[in-house]
Amino acid sequence: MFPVFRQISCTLCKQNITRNKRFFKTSTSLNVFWERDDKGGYKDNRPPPSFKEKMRDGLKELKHEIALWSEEVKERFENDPLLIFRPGEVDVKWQFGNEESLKKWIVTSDSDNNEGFSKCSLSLTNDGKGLFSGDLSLRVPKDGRVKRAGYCNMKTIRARKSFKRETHLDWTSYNMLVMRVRGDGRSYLLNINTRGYWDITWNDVYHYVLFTRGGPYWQVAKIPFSKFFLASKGRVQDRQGPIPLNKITSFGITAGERHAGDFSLEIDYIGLEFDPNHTEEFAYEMYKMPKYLVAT
Amino acid sequence: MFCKRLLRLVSTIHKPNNSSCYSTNFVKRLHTSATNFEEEAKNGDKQIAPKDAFQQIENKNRNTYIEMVKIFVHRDEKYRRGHVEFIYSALKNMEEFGGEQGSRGLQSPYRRSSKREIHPHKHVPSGIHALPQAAAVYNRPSGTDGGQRCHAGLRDGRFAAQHLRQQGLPFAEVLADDVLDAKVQKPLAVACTRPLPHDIFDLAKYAIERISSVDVNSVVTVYQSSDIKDSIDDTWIVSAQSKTQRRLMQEHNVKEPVYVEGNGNPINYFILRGKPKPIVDEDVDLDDVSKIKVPLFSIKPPVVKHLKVVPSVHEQEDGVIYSVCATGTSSKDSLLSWIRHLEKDGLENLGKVQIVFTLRSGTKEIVNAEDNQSDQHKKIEEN
Repeated sequence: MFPVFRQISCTLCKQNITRNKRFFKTSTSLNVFWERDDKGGYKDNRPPPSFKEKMRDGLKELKHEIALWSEEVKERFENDPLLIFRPGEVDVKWQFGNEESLKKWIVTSDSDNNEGFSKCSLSLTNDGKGLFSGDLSLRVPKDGRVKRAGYCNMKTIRARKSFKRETHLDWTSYNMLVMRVRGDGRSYLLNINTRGYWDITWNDVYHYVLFTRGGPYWQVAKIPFSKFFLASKGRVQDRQGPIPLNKITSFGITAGERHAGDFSLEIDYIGLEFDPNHTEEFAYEMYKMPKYLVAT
Repeated sequence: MFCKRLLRLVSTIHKPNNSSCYSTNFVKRLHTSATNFEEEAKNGDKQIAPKDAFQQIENKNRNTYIEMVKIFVHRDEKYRRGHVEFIYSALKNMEEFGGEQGSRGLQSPYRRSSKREIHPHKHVPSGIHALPQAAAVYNRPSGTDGGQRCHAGLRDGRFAAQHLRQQGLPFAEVLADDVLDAKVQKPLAVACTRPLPHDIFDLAKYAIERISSVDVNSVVTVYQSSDIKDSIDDTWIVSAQSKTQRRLMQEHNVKEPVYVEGNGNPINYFILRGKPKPIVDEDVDLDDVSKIKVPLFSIKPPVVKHLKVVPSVHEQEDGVIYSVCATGTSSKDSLLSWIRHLEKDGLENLGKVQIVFTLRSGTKEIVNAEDNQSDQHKKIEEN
């Protein structure tokens, strides 16, 4: 009796598995809005390294990771965190000057994913500043899928601890982003990623525009964090809120103006400042809206 | 009885061309409304709003575009079937018809179709994207190409309020756009004005004005290179210089050269640059208590003055910028005329110093091919 029953049930199960995995589900499932992939389907096409390469590179990494870890342990025992943030003092977070500083940045453009023809690079100038430059092209590839093209982006690598453990940057003590830049007159988009654990927060990015003057003069742009607004996948969200400054994962700059051509943005440093005179928490409307008008 | 009559009616009016069609689509042929019979009679003109209607037009201009909208509206005044397809098609082909963003005529697809009758009156249908309002939303990215985030047809707030269902998605988007526009465009004092001037001279003047806006005292002057004797080019020179820059130029040591540099930037402007002033940054240990001077015990007044002149914005770490210019040809000759003009205007220094041309960019060829000297550095003999 039992073996027969098992056989039947097994075949039934197998059939169900091949037909529809969710056959036995009794509750209603929401399978529309979840994010399948944290990169949105933009996969790395490179072949994975072989076992031998993995071992070799891994052992090389181990040396750096242990060094990093010992620093962390030392810091833990010293227990001497920054407590006073003096107004007017800029704490530089990213600065250029050597090849090592360029490794903290990931530079991408639409041509990397065969979705356009823009090209860009991040290099060092003769004076040791970072130069984000390239050619912005609005030409759309004729694949019938891409509707619009033309962006170049630079983004910092994800903040992490030793042994490749991901962490967040904590900027709660500051309220200004300070950048010393020399632009070409174009406007750039500043992106502060606050990726969370749940899939709906994977694409949370806070934006603001960096206006540049153009010309040979350096400019210091001070942008309060209260001005940054929330968007997800480039869409400004209806329900806004101040930026969670303890959950910063990365920072980026996008050149995505709707004017094709060359662009160049020289960057000296990107830093943070605490300005006690700036008391604004969030610059945009936070009042409750009538039903079905927002976030529908 | 009724069914029998119906069947008879169908069989008399619809005479199928081939039997297979009849057998497979029999059920669908049971039309009861009069409109369907009319459509069938027209045989061949089944599309309500043909997809490529706009592409088929040979003479593409603004008037034919508006005429197309009129034709569409008058064909079916009441129900206006196919308006979503029509709007998609109209907006897609707008550029070819010479449509400018924000022009009134091009709002017409919205204006004509977005009437109260066809609008959803409940919450759920207003969220479904199958109405002209949805077409309006989905076409927004084409609006962003012109530098506007919202589509031209919906920019007008009053229009949006009248024609869009207030609980619908497009209206919410219009509101959100308005709010963000107001917030983000405040610091647009630094951003470019739109539309930018088309004329190259106006554009150059605008660019130089913007570059020199770093100093409030900057004066933008337009020179003609032909005013200088022996000049080859006859073009305009837009130059900017402030009081501070003139002072800095007059203070410039004649023995040191100044550089005329073209920037590698997309916009070809040129600067007159001197060597950077040395930055004296004394690192004083403020916590050092061993050298405290007590003024009570010193008879002489302190010799060293600790006050410094605040360096001007023109004294950058990579050089002192004396002037900025753009010329019509961006050629070396026109830049030489610029230097001579500056010299004429009271900067006698420029007649004495060595001027090095390091032109890294330019629309014209700068160095002759037969010239054996280095490509970048050329010295000009003193006159």
